[in-house]
Amino acid sequence: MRLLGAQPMKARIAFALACSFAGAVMRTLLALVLVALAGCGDQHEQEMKSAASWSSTALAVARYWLQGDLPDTYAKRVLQKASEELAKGPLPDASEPVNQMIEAIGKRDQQAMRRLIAELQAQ
Amino acid sequence: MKKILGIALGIVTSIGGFLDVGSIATSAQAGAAFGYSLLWAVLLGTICVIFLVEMSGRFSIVSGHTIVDAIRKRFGFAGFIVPFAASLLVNLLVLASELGGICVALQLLTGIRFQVWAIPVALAVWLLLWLGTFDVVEDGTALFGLVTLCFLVAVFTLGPEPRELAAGFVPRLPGEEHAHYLFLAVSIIGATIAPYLFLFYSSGAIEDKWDKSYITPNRYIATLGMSFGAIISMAVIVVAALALKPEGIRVEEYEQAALMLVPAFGRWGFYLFVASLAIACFGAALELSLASAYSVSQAFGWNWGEDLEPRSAARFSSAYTIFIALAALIVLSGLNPMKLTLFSMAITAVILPLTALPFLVLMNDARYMGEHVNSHFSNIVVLLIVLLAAILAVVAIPLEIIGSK
Repeated sequence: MRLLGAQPMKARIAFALACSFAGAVMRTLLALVLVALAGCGDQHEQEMKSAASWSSTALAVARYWLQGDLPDTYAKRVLQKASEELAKGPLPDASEPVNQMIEAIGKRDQQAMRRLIAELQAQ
Repeated sequence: MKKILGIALGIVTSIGGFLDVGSIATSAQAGAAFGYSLLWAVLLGTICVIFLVEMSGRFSIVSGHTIVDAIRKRFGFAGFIVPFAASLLVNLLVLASELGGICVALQLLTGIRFQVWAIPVALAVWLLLWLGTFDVVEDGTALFGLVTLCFLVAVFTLGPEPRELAAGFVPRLPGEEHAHYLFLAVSIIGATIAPYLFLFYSSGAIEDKWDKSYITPNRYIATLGMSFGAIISMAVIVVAALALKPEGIRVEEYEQAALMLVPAFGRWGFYLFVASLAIACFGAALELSLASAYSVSQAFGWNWGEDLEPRSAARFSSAYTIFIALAALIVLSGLNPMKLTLFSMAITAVILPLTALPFLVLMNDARYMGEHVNSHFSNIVVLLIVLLAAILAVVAIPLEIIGSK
């Protein structure tokens, strides 16, 4: 305060505003960190979401392939990736029908693909 | 008439050149995970980039300097080296992401692993820079980039609910995954306000020999070009929200994002996505390589210019050659292109103040700008958005790393 004593009123107001702004920023940051930390979620939940997403990806790819909307090369590659991701996650059983989907594309077997879609949906 | 055509071409190239790997990856992931609720981040970033691009053009027109050149002169080498090194490092990461984006597009098309494409793609980028002129680099690739308008067409085909769409422009935390939401918000802002964009624009104004008669056209190009460009970026969010979110698909890899245009265009949707990704990344890779070579050459006072023969600007040409080679090595290392892109964009947000703040000082220096110094309003808008993005990024990046382990 002694330092500020000799300063004009304008400088004091600026100093006070700067302090309150810095305080507000710090409080906001702390709140953000707490909110975000609380939202981090547990590892298992993240893995479940990822596995569910890859399973949904495989289903969508299979459906679009049946409609003739995707080239075989791409469809097989995504299904391969989905199978790998599912095998290392919490839904390893879901990777088997996805592997069979890749074979169905190779044989251009639409009937098998419909059956595998139903099987994967059931899981 | 010539000037009107110039403005029109400037706007068209800004639209065609707006999307890059960062916008596509962050918007696709945001739409698939959080629906429309991150549209506000694109809007915020766009407001800031409109101001920054307009300022960078005005700065070069009035002062006759590029930003890098002026920062070095104004702050001395010691004050210049930190923002210079930080922006070069981020440029390298973003360039690697862009090259990675092209390689992934080729992988989607052919099934051949993306690493295999790293060298051919790097060579193609380098060859076009070596043989091409500034107009070819700036206008040619951006005109091809108009293919990205397919995202806008897809929005009309899929028909979003207008009220839900409008709600996406109001920031609010979702019910869960706060850390990932914050991380995507800063990545989107980082992708929208990429510093290379306004550094490139400033050098481009010098290359194109803009004089004071371009002050008004510059304003139109910055405002309309960036606004329309941002609409495409928003369209990616909306299409991902309509096509991927209801299916339960989260975009962890580009392979998943490639499905987003299929509901709107059928088989063509896949090819349009691949073309958009490849062309947008190719254009951005050219601009980034040039922007980095401009920065290095202007920092060390070397001869520079894309319109010069490589032998007349040997060090400038060597700079982009080395830069492209380093970026290709990063792609070859096999780093996940999607993760590399998202982190590059978030880091861009962290370093924004390092490049934007010295630039703001210059924009308020009457020795450079005369009567064309910044208004208080534009200073405050840019300052607030840049600081907010940097603070959020410092908080969000560690949380995203913890969350993804």
